[in-house]
Amino acid sequence: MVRVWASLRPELDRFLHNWYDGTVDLSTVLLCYYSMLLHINTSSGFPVYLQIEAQVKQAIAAGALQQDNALPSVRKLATQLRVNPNTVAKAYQNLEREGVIRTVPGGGTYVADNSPGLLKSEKVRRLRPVARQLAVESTQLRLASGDVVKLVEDELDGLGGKR
Amino acid sequence: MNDLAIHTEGLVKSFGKTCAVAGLNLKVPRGAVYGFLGRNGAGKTTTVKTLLGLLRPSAGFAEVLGYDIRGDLLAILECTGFVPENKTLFGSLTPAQIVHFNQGYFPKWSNELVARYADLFEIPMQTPFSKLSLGNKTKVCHLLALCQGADLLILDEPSIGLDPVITDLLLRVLVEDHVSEGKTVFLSSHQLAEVERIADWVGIIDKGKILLETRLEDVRQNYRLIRAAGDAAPAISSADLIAVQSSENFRSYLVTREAEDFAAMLRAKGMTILEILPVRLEEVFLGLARKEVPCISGKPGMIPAHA
Amino acid sequence: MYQWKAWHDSRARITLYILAALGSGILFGLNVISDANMHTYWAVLYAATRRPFLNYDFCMDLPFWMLDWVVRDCGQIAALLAGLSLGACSVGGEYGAGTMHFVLTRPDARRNLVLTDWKVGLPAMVIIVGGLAFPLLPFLALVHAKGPGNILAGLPALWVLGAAVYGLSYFTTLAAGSAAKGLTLSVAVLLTFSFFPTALNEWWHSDTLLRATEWTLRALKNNAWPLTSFEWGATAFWLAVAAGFLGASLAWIRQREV
Repeated sequence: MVRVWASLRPELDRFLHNWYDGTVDLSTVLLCYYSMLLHINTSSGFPVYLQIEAQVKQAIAAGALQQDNALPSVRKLATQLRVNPNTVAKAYQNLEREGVIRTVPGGGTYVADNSPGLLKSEKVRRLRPVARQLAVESTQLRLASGDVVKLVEDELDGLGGKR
Repeated sequence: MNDLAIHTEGLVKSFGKTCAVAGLNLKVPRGAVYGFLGRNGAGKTTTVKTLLGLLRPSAGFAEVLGYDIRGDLLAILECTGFVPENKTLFGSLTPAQIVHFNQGYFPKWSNELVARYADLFEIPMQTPFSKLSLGNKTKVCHLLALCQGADLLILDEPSIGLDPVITDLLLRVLVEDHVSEGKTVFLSSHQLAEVERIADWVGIIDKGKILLETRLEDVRQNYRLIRAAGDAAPAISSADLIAVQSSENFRSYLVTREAEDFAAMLRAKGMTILEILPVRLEEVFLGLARKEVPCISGKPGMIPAHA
Repeated sequence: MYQWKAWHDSRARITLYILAALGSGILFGLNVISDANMHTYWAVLYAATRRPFLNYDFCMDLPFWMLDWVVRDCGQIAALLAGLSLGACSVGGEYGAGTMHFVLTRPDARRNLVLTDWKVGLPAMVIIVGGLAFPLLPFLALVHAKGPGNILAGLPALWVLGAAVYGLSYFTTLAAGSAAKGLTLSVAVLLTFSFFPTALNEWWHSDTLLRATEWTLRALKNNAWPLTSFEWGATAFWLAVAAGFLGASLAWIRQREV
């Protein structure tokens, strides 16, 4: 699959080069595609690397990124998002540690197998802060717990078939 | 060659009786993007000028890229790209002529980069400099610094006059062509949003001294704003507390780490915790530098970095 | 690099002055000797360039005051104006323009800025003054009334005076930060030099300063006269003044903060 892709790439590059008068190449198109998936808000106070991690996971969960899809290199993604490469590197490192993505020794980052093989207790531990936030907010808004459960179930259904 | 791009210890610069830089200890790691923040008159531009030999230091030690500013100034100037606060260049020359003037000084000058950036930033290269708008003048200043092949870029107020599109392009160029190559960027700016975006270190200067020097990740990960309510105003002294804001019964505490423990301490003193929020760089800066909110940490004036 | 810039800034001025000087010199020379033998004119010029330090014995019956006026006044004015104007092109003008911080952060020793300016300015001044004086020299030889003399002895005096004035103008522009302020200061210095000794003599009856300044200006007086009376002392004095201003400029720019 990767070899086919690699051989097609020069053709695609040339096509895009001619079509867009040399202002666009394949990496740019891919970056536009990927950066549409990732939207970083640097003034929210929420760490950027966590935003990147969360959004990559979200993209995978929603099916926009499939197994073995290539992710842009640290440098390219940092350039496109206008953030420090160290931030992107940290996000990729964490994602790799969690088994969400994998890096190939020759270079290139790909979406990994989608079952991290964690213990259920570990999965629960990871989700607890999110759950706590949901609990706090719904208490503030005085939403009944039955409604909260239904809300979560609706969201899970919305992602559909990817669990 | 150590691993610091800029290193100062006790740097002092005074003009007669005014002391603009009063014992500055700056450590900018190589390859970092360092945001140098401070109020007007805090000593930012004086520091930058002293590092580049435009001013002579009154006392103290300073090294840029391993070279002493008192002895090896020419070596520093050859490896450092500088965009000054005052974006004035020779009025009667066109940008193309200014490039021609400048390139003779730098062995690593790249004319391909000149062509690429001139196109990217839409710089009118054949118009006399005095006839350019402020934005175009700023672009030319950046062009000269970016094409130099410098190991360190010192940018003083880089976005003056630049529209958002060009600022965005500039950030992109900095990340792609400089930071990704391991070069250091020293950014002195009032545009906190930009700094927050690409910096990984931040240093806040006030009255000629460093108030805070830390990684931006530390700020994002550990700094928290604790909003609490209560009748009592407990006297709190903690090395981790850097600012407090009060109004009526509400208080905001800006802490540098262990926010949960601090919140627990507040609860123990009878206060109700409303929320614990992450902080933006702007809030840290305002908390430290604003006059009506003095720093009340255990060590006023200096906050150690949590590496 | 900086040499290119120094030349670029002053080239219009220099070209204009050279053309003006050459033009005036040639016109003057040709006009006055229009009745004389053109062949003699060229012969004298040719001989002067071949062997400038030998004496020539051409005589012609023209009034002496013309000679004096031509050399002392016209040549002197040319030297003064060229020196003042070119000195004002100094790097000091960059302060006023706000570009000094840019110039001083280029990786080149600061003294090279001053030296490059002088490398461009001094030769320009020499050419301008020479351009005026050179066509006049055969004329001087032709009106020489007192016997053999060195027709080129007049030039060094004009040149060293021009160099000294250039140095003054250069230093004042550097110290004051702009061409306008520099020129004002230079003119003030020149006027003081011209009138203060006389004033001192008239009102305080002290003629020491007056005699000193007159001695320094002797270099300009005895021009086409025998080589033995070449004013080495006064010429050396003006050279020392020029060198002094160069040294002062170098020291100034070394310690200057922006």
